[in-house]
Amino acid sequence: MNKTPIIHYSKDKRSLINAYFLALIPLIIFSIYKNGILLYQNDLINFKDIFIPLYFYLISIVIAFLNYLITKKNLKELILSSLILTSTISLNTNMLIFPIVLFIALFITNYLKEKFFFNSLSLARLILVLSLLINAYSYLNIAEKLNTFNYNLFDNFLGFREGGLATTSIMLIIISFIILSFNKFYKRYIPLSATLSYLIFAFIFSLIFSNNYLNLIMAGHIYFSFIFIASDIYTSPNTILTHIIYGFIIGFITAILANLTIYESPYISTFIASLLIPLLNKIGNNWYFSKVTSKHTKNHQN
Amino acid sequence: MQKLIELKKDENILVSSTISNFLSPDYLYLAIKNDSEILVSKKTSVKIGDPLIINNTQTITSPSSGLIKSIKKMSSLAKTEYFLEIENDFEERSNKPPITQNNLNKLTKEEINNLIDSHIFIDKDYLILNALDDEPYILTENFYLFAYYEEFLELLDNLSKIYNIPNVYVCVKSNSSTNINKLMSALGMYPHIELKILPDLYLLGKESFLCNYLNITNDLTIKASTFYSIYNTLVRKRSTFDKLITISGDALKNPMIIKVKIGTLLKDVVNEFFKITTPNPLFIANGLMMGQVINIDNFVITDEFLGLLIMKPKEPKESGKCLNCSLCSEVCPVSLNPLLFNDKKYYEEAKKICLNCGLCSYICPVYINFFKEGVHYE
Repeated sequence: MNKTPIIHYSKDKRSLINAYFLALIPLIIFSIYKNGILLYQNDLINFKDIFIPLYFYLISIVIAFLNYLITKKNLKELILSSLILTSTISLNTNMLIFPIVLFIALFITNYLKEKFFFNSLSLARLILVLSLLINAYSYLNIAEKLNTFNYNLFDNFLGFREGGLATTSIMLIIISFIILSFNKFYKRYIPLSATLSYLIFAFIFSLIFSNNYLNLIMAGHIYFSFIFIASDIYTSPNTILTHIIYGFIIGFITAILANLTIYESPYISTFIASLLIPLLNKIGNNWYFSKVTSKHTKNHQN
Repeated sequence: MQKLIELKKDENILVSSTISNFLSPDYLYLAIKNDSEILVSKKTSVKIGDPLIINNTQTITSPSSGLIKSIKKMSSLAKTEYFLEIENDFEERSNKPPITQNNLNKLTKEEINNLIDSHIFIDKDYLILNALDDEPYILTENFYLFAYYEEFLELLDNLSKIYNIPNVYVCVKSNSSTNINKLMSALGMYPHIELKILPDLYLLGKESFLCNYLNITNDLTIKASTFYSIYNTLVRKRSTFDKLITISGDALKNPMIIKVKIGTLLKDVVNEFFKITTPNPLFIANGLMMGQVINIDNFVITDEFLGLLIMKPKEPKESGKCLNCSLCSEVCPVSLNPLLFNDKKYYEEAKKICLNCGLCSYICPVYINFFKEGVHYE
């Protein structure tokens, strides 16, 4: 049929990866401020502890590089995955165990995804919980533990509340989403439909489980997961319609699980939903099959 | 309404704004289709307009005076391998007396009926002259209008009056400013002919997309190049021996629109006008999206040929793992899903609908070539 176009659209996969890095930058900077500088300014930590968030990010880059040396996979993609995962961990994560668990998580999930179709980032993130369980399972930094600041709802929106290292600021997450959405290859329908379905079902389930709806919807890490993990570069269904359904399922499962474990719910739901991708592809493919057949019949009649 | 996209232009590829002529080649080659009968023998001397080949649909006449040499195997975009070679004697001898142009105002339905299949004009609500080129950097249709706009407008006006077609549109792309200015001043004489200035969207030149865009039905849309043939038949009372071609590309500094005789060797045209300094350039016939790489040696310009892009050689990009971004199906103008082409059943159905527009491979972030001669991506 076609003889291959000689020209190509000005952007390719590299531009998407660059967009992800760009979208992560404000979140990482804020995490260093919130979990380091702000705490030091209020005499809650000593000077060297300012660098703990930075330590996690630097270690994640080193681990990505080590993985690259072994697997010879794309270094940029490995660093990106590693940074995304690190952005979601708790500040209380064990600093010695973290590099080992991150290395194993990246290695195992990269190996498994060659054989099975699933969202490897979400599985790696779930494995990373192990490095938090060794310390006390908590996503609060020292200020949040001591309840030093009296934050209001707007402060929460800006990112001053408990959560993963770089996942607390809903405002910055929205900015990241806007940055990513400028890229044609970004799967924007997944986070959009996931967020919409999460907001709807979280409301319904909060009534059933008598939970605080505001607390459920102000959890930035849920949106971070939708934007960075659910819309993984590779793992998703292959049509827009199924992207929307996939996002909707993720939002729905997250809404259920958020009442049980709010911090891990988006990762579990993304992993579960990703197992349904072959089924979703089948649905999408059948739709295209019926469309092409009807179109051909129509053309024939004309 | 199907969503069409605008292709980003490469600023290194220029297109000329003037037309040059190459109407006296040494040799001309006329395509011999499978069901054709050759009416002349070797070494016969022929004049312009002499019938040479006849097939079920048409009689092919000699575009030049000269000597019939032989039947040669050549390459072209026509679905045939064999060509009748005519050696040009440069005398331009013709059997017919010089033709005095028909007075367009005296053109009648009966006369048109005798010359062309005129039922296409009957009971139409819209008559559209389509000067939109599909391919980027190929401006052949645009230049047909640019070169013959006065003649075309007069004929359009007459045809619309003869067949009572209420709406007459001339469609040009918004980036064709020279054409637009010329047409604007000329249209004052034809108040019922409307100029439609359209965005530079890829594939908008295809009739179905154009009508969809203009939201019209019951139309007769004629490409400017086809209208040139109609003009020749109805007004000049002769076959169309010549055509306009675009020669451009990033390996050329002086791109050109050239008027050539159908049957000219492409290499003769290239050698006449261009000095190519780029080593191992790529020769692409009919555009960078839907075109194909050709070898210009022994390549004959036929009706199907629109232009040549001479490009600097580029390293082909290695295709990567699919991202499932769904953009290939999103941009497909006929709503196919190229990711399903590895399914034989789907592929067979899709083949019948696919426009070969190349948008799926153009947009793919990991450079998947969806149609590599029928070999599907992995």
